[in-house]
Amino acid sequence: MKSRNLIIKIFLIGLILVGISASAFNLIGKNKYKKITILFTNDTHSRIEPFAANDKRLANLGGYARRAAMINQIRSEEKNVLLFDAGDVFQGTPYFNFYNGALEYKLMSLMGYNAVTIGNHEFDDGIEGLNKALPAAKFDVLSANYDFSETILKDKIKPYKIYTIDGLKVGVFGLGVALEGLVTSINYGKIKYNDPAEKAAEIAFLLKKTEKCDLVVCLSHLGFSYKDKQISDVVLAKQSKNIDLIIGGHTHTFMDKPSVYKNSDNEDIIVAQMGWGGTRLGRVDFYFAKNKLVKF
Amino acid sequence: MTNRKIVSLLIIFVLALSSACQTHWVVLHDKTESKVILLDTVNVKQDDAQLLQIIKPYKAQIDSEMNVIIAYSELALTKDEPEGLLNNFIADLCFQKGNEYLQKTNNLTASFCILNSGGLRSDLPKGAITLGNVYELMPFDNELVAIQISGQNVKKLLGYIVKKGGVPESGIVMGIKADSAQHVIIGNAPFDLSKNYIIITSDYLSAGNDEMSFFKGAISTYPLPIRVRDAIIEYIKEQTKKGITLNAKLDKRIYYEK
Ligand SMILES: [Zn+2]
Repeated sequence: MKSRNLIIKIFLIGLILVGISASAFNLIGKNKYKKITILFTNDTHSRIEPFAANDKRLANLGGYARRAAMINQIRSEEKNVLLFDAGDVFQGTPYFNFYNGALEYKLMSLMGYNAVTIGNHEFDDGIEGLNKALPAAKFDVLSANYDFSETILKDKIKPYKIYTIDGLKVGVFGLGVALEGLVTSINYGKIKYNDPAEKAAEIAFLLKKTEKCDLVVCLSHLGFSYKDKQISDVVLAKQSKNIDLIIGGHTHTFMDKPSVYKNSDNEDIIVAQMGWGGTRLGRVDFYFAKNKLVKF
Repeated sequence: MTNRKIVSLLIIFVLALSSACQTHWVVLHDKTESKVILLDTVNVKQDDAQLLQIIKPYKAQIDSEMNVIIAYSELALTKDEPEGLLNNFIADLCFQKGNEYLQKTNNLTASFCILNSGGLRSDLPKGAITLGNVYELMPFDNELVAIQISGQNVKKLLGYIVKKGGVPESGIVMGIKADSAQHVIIGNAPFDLSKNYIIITSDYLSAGNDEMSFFKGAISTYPLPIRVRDAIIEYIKEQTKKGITLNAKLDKRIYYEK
């Protein structure tokens, strides 16, 4: 009996030591972190193949198979990868006229996209058209401010989704641009458009505070920024709380590097957009540390 | 210590440890790294074989229908503002084609044509023009339409052109000065506020989309039985048949006045 007691005591002391050293690591911080790599595209516009060699602006760039190769390479180097798109997957080459978006969604499923939001061109064949292409999408289609409850897309599109990766919770939601005056009314039918800023505030609070997500990402098809005061990614970023990254689209904005803004809590928020045509892949690596010491 | 005490101590300790693990993670914003990866042949040496294989049959079908050369262009036709080679080329041919159909269907003639810059989705290259090029330029299935609006609404339309810094149009010559339209000539006559005008455009725009609210109070609308893309294809094929290579000019139809 005595020897068994001893073993248990040694085991206990060992556990305490492990606990203390773990907390010491937390103190140092740098040695104990997690990393999430977020990859993204926007406004890929049915560019299944690279741009032609005689294209004036984007010659030989892009193509789905090339994007897939780059994504695979990054996946082989990084443990925690999430892949998103900010909308306008549809329309722009004969691939869309022929196959109506199903091929794009199929290939994106194979690339392992986690979620996309809905761009205005997703309605180019009407709500029916999007509905027909959706079964090819093995990823989440997210929109927090389009209300589909009176359409055939009811329950097929969620406002947000939480991805748990390496023990970290990443909350993701989608925002769409105002459809009136942009999409022919018969094409968007009974979709109700809600204020994107209000929805963003509501959902981001829910994700960060209620659901305790470690990171909150917004997939936006609002547009990067405008001359007038209309809602855009930059306007949203500055007035927002609880969002870490806005992956934008719609304005086909090419930027040298994602921009960092201060939100209304004076915290950093990144706004990024990758031009259009799938010619670029965006990448943001987030590092996380534990925020509290273990107390004994 | 009894075994039971030790076991319970152990349980407490393990619980303490596991609750310590629940302390959550915070993002270190100052450590965040972000970049743009250009998807060119330098950064990606080899395209993904699996995707290429899947795309292959789709591409074969599209190539067989779309790689047909329908014309040759003297120069690359690109979009620009206040006017551009592509703007002028497309607006001119839509004006011509639209009027042909309007003549046939209603025995009427329009005064000018207006399109939106965002509707021209791609440039036309120099040299061989394929059917696929036209699909990329005009992927939408919008149809041509003729619409009659009041001079008052045309005035708003001119204001729209100014606000946009120029749009693809044919039949209007105008200056822009201090945010207003100047010396506006429509057809061969100065703009007349008291006159109604018939305009060729697309059904997407005649519905008032892309801020073209001046179309909302239309006097009459004449749908034309042709898609914008098909009008482009029809025109281009006619040119080729006549042995004409495609060309366009900048002619100062929209210009800035000092
Ligand atoms: Zn787009």
